[in-house]
Amino acid sequence: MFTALKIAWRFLINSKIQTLVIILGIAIGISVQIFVGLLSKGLETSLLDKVVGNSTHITIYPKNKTIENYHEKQDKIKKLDSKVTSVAPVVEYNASINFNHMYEPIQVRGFVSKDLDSLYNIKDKIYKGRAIKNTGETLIGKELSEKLGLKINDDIYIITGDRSKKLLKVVGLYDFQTMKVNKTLVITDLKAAQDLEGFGDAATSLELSTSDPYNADIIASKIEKGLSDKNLKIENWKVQNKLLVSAIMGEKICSIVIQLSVMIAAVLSIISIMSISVVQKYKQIGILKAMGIKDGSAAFVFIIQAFMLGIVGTCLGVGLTYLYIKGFNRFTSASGGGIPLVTIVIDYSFIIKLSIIDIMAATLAAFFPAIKSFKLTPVEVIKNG
Amino acid sequence: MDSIIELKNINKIYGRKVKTQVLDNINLSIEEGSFNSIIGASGSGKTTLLNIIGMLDKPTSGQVEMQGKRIDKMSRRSLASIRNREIGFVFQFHYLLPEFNAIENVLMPQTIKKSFYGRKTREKAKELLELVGLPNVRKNKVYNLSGGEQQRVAIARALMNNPKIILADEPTGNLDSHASEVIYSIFRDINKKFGTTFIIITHDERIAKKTDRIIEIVDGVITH
Repeated sequence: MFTALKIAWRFLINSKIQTLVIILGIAIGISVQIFVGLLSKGLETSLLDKVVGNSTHITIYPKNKTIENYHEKQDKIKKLDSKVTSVAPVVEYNASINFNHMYEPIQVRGFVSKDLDSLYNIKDKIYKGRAIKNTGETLIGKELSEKLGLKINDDIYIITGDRSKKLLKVVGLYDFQTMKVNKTLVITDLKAAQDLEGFGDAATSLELSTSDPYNADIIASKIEKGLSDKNLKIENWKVQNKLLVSAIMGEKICSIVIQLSVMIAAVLSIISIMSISVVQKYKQIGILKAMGIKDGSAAFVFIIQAFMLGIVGTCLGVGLTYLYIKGFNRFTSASGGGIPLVTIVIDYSFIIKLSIIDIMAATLAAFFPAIKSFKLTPVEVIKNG
Repeated sequence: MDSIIELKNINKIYGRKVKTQVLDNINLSIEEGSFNSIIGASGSGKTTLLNIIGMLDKPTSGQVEMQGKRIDKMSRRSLASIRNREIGFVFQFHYLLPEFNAIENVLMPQTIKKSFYGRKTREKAKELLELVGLPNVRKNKVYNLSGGEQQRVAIARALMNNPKIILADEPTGNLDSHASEVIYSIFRDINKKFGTTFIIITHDERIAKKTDRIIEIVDGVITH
């Protein structure tokens, strides 16, 4: 084995240009692979974070109009899964907003004010004014406030379908970065929302946030089983954002296909270069066999070569990936103003996994050339001079 | 003296559709420590015969014995090991490995035998280079040596593992007459000093006449 190693090493350093070409080939292959993988992961995470950050992870709806005994359900749900971080009762219905003789259709949502922070991180979304502290206060979205010309401390009327009316005070303006939400959602406290619709101490839904939003569907089904209440319907954000989830899945598959094709191209090029290398070294292998090298060792020479090329190529490739990421961040943030378009998170376990796979693939690529070397008989070489 | 190589009824046929009989019922016995030459026209089968003796090729039928042991039925692995320990080859072309320098080439049979070797082995390789008259080329790349020097490095390499037999296929075919003389005198010295058996294929009648035994082969049959 050490003999094979020695010979492999000499073969490599004696054809420097060829060695360099293979190393570069592997390096470019793996760097593209890692980069595409990381980019796709970054895209996925930032997209999901944006969506998950602005939506509830799990929502529980009643099949009839309201959930009466929501306090009891709250406690029960919290006990069912430790991953549930908060269970917020919400009152939600359609209404109109009236300000300065202008009417706009809106959606009222009433929350317990501390839930607003745990569910939506509302303090970060308020760009003017403050969060709700007392009953009768409201938060208005950016586009709606602009349309109606609302300012902090203005009073607005909410008019429900059955013509009941309630005065609310604007204490803050928020921006969820989604125009549709900003235009229609009026946030108020739970009590005010309950009073206006007049259904007492009940909720129209329960909104849950979890510590593991990507497995919201699993947690949701666990809760569904635990509650076993036929009057309740449980939805998670994945179901609510099917289109997005399928888009992300599609993007993920694309990224895997790209990664695989790059790897196949790299492996094929190693196979072909290694096969050429075996032919180039025919004489040497033939004479080594005449001198008594075992067939296995003669084959092993090429496996070791490929392994060494794989390791050096992969290390270089990982280095190249850092350069790509730097370049990408610089290029995309120049037009985007400071923050890169997609935040690439350097996932070490992903890089290590890919590196191991690629080194293995590179080594296996030498399999057929190695067989050629295994089968070669010294007579073939000596006869042909 | 005992025979070191014994060939019994050796036939070698090449080709499947068009069959060419290269060796025809060869019986040959080589004595241990003898100095032999094989002569014959080109295409007469002398290289094939040498390859069969050297276990590089297998006969179509017949028995090959080395020191009383049958070797024609052995596995490729055991044959490789026997070639490494018992046989030294010198070919018409030197077949040195260009990736290694002169002394590393000489050490190659030992490298194949044992991955690691000590100072003693290195000393031996040095001595062998001195024996073939090349004390100063140890670190030279083989392609920087002249044809005669390369062939002498190849001879030193063939001697590295103290083989019992040296098989040489026109070892001076590419050399001028002076270089050829040098090589044959080296062969003779080794034969006397170590008792190594030599079988040398040659075209040169003058050289053949200096050997103990001339084996003449015509159309695959030994005539002399």
